[in-house]
Amino acid sequence: MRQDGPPLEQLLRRLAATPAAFLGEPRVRTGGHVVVEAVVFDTINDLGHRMTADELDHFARRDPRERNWLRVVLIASWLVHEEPFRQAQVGQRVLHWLTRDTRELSEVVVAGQFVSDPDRREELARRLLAALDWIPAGETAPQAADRLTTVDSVERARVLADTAVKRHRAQQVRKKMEEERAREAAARYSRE
Amino acid sequence: MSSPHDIPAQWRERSPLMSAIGWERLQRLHQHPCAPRWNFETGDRLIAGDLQQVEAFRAAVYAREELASRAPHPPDSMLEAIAALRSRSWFLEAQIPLGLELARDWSSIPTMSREDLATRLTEVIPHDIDDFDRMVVYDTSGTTGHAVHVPHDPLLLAKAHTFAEWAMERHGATHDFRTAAVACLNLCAQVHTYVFASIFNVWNEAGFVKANLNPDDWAGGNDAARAYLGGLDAQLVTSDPISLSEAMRWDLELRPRAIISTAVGLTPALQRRFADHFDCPVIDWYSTTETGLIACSAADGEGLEIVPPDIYVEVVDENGAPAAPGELGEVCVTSLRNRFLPLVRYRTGDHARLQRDPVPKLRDLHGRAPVFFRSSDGEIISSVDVGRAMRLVSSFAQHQVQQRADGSCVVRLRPVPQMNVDVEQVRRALSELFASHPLEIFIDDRLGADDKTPAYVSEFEL
Repeated sequence: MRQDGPPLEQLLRRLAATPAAFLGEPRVRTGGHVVVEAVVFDTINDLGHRMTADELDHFARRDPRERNWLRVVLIASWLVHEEPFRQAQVGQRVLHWLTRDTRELSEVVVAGQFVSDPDRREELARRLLAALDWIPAGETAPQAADRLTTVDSVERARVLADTAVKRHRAQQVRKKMEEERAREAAARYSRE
Repeated sequence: MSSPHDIPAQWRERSPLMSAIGWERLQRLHQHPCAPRWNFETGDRLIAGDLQQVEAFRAAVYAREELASRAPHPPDSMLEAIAALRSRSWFLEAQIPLGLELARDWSSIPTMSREDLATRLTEVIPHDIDDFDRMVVYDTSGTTGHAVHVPHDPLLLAKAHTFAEWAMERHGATHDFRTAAVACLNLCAQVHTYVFASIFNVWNEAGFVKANLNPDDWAGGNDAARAYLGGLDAQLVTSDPISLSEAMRWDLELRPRAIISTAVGLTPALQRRFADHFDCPVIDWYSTTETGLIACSAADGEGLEIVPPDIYVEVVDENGAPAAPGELGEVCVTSLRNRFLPLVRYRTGDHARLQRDPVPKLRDLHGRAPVFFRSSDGEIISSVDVGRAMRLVSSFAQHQVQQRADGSCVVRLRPVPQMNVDVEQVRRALSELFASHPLEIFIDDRLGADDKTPAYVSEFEL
């Protein structure tokens, strides 16, 4: 059921003012100090849901390759602690968003950009509202959907990674290599 | 005395820097009455400006304190270059997760393998490269039998000459390539291979000959081969243990200042035997087509010394984590020298122990045992001939050829997805080599699943 959310501006201001504690290095195998699962537990608890051990385990990551995702989770945790979300007690739905949607974002955007870059701030805020089926105050549903499409970096990355683009490039490179293989190569002083 | 105008157009294209002196030298090599049956022509393709770059690279090779492999982590300049390459190579973009701190999380970067080059090469090559004019391509099937086409660049090949210079000096051999008529002889013993002469501009137009110890390649028979090859007086001979054994059997009178033995491992016993016979240092050369030279025999006789200043060598366990100091693991190379083929944590398929101090070295390198086969007529067949014969008649992703002591062979082939292997053609091609030895050929979709499948296995020993 669609409902009015807070004004977008309120969320953008919150993101821009993310405190240093939420921008710290997540603790992984090779270093870092912020225990992400503890932050997520407290946040979701304040939103009305007590996380199970299994749910918590999802955030207890130690692989450095997941560092960017963990950093996105920290910034997103700060964002969802804003008053309207606490009041609405949407802990379970927010947890779902934190667990799933932030992952694909972290594959294409460096976490810090969700604080420093206006478009990425807007993207994160709009994605959260969309996941809750909320519309930013003062916008219509089509306006909100249209604006989210404009700032959607996951979709943009998908287009860039489009297999058609890669397929075309692969054909081009393979053709060049076949042409070169047919030519005499260059003299080498030894076999490898 | 000929003038530059006498150089035919196709040779000006093959060797744009060649002068009248080089052309005369080349003609003498070609027209000698005892010369082999030439079956190929090629040059070094160097152009103006390349020699200065080789000069700069030579300085880096000799400045040993700058070796990237000396430290337990890659140098900052290499990390910066990899970070920049991430957005230029789809493969590296997928390999290296966003937000990874390359210095701290180095060992979390997934390793890459021949399988990646066999199946995803077009994604490895940076997608913003659209100038392929200088690309040359070499085919290799390596120790694991994955067919790989390796894009190269003539400048890379020229830079590699400085490794030979350095290694010769390291082993107390002098060289004077700048005044030599013939700098290098590359000696093979195969059923089929390219036989050609050329000149190397990087060595002041000194001559180069690639010769094959197969009687069919010499119109004048073994006597002509002995006369021609002995008369070259090449300062450097590059070869492999099987061909060097053949050179001894052919009674070639070669007196090089050094021999570089490539392609397969060189046992200490063979090294001594060749050194005694040819009366010069014999240097074991550990290189792959994908990476170029990695290491060569250390002058103190202990292990292999890492030579290129710009490659970062690791020894890793199955998960890609660095093996404990002195422990055996897979040799893994990071090299950005080849602009067409950035290699980040590339598994070579060979195993060794790594020592970083006081000189970076690989010890106990294995996985490169010399493998050769025999036909039912008793003739030696090199693994190169076997690979070539099969690939000329059919495409497949990977192969394994095993020969038992009784001469019978078992061949396993993994097809390229959605492509059929022409088993009968492969059988015919192999029968020509192995003569009447029995052949069994299997299609095996699981071949290489454990990534350690050797391409060639033989119960015959040198």
